[in-house]
Amino acid sequence: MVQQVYRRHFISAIGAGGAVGLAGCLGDDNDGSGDENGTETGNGDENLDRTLRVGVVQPQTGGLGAVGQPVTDAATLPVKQIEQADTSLSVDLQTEDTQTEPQAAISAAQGLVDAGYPAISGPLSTATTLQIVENVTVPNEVVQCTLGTAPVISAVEDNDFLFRTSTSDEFMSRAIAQVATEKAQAETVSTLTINDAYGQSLAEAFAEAFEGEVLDQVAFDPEETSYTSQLSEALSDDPDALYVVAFTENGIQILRDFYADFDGETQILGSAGLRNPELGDNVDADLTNITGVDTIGAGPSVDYFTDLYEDEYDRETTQFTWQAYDATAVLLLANAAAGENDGASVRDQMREVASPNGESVGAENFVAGLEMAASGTEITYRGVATDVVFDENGDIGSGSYVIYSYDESGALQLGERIDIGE
Amino acid sequence: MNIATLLAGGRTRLGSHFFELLVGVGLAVLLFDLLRRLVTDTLRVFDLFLFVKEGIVLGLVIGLAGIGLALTYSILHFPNFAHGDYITMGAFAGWVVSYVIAGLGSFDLRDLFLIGVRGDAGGVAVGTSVVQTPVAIVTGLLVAIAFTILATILIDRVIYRPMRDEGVITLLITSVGVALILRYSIAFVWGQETTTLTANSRPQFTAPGIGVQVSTHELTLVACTLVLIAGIHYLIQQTKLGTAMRAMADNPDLAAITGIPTERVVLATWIIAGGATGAAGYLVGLETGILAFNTGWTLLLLIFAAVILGGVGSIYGAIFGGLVIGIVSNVALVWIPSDFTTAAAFLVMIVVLLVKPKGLFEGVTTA
Repeated sequence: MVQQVYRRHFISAIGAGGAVGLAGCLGDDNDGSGDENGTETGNGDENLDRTLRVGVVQPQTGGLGAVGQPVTDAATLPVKQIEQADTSLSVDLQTEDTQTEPQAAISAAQGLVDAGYPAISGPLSTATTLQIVENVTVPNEVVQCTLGTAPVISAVEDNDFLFRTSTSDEFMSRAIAQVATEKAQAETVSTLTINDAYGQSLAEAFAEAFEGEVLDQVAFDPEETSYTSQLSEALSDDPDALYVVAFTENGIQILRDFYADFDGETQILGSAGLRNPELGDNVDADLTNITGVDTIGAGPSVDYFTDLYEDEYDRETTQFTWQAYDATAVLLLANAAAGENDGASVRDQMREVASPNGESVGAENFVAGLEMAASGTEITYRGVATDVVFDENGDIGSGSYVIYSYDESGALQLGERIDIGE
Repeated sequence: MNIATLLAGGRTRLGSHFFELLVGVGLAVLLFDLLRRLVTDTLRVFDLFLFVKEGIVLGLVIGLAGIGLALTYSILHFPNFAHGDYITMGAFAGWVVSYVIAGLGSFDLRDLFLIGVRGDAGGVAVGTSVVQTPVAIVTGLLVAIAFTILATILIDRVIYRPMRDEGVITLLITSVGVALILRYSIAFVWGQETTTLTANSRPQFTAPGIGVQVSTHELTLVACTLVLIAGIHYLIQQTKLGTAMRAMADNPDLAAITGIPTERVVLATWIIAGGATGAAGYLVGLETGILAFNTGWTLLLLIFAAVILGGVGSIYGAIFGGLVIGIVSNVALVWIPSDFTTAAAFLVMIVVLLVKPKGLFEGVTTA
């Protein structure tokens, strides 16, 4: 139940992206300070004996407060690893609260920039991210690694200071389109989506990605007492499958109405909100016609991270904790490689620390990886959420999803993984 | 001067008739289009009947919840914004009792008290439904009625009564305060998540030839609403108390001078209004199968619309207004996407008010 609240607030805020968008980014870095091995032995010791500075900006109160707290914990976990390790590197962390409000987010980020932090990890939602990028990080040449998922973030004019370790919603839709074709064998699909930016962007991206025909696209208001009429509209052309984009609480009600008023034979494709172990306890029906996808942490060192997180905070990893860890970790690695607390220098190392041919670094050897980066060794950060390879927009070019379904008893079953690449 | 007045009056009369004509033509066009869609098969008969059924159920929910609001408005002369949270309060009180009765012995009492918000006692596990646990449902309904009556009287004694002579704005803002206090007290105990109340609403009855299904819980809601309306109708039309209430609704000062014990009438009003509201809350939970701390608050806007549409203060108006709002917001799906259907319902309300400014049942009569 806790998780469903997280997801609800979280996704609604993430979806609330503004319409900022101008393409264009800097091309390849041209003043990389030292990615050739062996040239930096002289200042290696100096680099190993410095303080890395990083700021974390996440919602801890407001609409996303509930989901932001575990994410903040995950974002500060790399710092805890450094503090607990035996290393000459030290770290200076400051955490600020966005209050899930664009204005408060700007002040929070501005505070960090004024205090001289060269890099900011977070925040979760697209709306606050866009405000920070426009008003704080890019004008002040500070690197930011966000977790917002709206496609609009790819197109922001950011002088290459903006990165993200979460994957764009576009990938999610491609994953569900793949499931529609391959698992549900659907040639025609109608969509029933929540009527906000999140639902709309998923529905549109799905219509683009799906090979078959999209019949009806119905949006629903999350405050309705019954969704029978909306379902009837979405099912009126008798599609093979219905793609439902809803949060858990609307999803439960939609499914109850679906099984009560219709024959229940149409395949249901579900968004992340329909993945909930308690669904079977709330919908008294045969749920075996539901298939869906949800994001997972599927990077090489996810198991180590999961143990570390659970030991440290005594709770399970939840959505976007993986991406939050990656964001802070990659910023710190880039900082170590840059050798100075300067935004532009850190930016130029962001892609370098994840370049494909270096020493493999993950959550399990993160501190050792920092030392390697500081002494000029080429490293490859392999993420917790997914392989961190930034494209020219600062996006990760792949997403990992898990297929979920329900068995006859209504128990949630996690199936195979889907990896979506560019 | 006289001629000018006459002319102006004539123009207004012509204007209002013109508007009524426009509305009539609009309705005719929509009806014609509906038939055309049915004949050309762009609209399935099944869909139309489903929209109407959903509309009636939603309409009765809104109407039943609106009775209490209409009553208190006509007697106390202020819009009670806490009304939505009275609905939620009644629902929680009744459903906690239903859960305890249905699940005692099989579940932890604490889990039952939390009605599935946390713990093991979820709706499907406890198996609450009219057919499986009739005793729990009937007891729950009665407790919802009784609890809401007691709570509304208590709130009236502590908060509204000392302010009886204050202006409408003071009372209105106070009621918003009461609403917030109630809502977040509920959220404090049961959290802000939505819980599932009922296991299912089976058996379903299928309308022959159309295929639309009607569930046991929908039938229960319709039956209970009709019984409650009949009971309230009898109280107001046939008893001395009803006469006194109607007198107070028309003119409180005159009623007081004639020797009507106004405070006792107010008390009776809260009892009837509280009972209807508690029952509405419980039945909304039964029919929709879900409940959250803000269920009543979300319904309140529609309830106000229904009450105003029907003519503020009239309980039949509230029911009728509820049905109009409910049916319009569902049948509108034939023409417009579902995000706009609530707007369509409010548009209808505004059009009705332009044609009949005092609402369909024309104002404060409590009947």
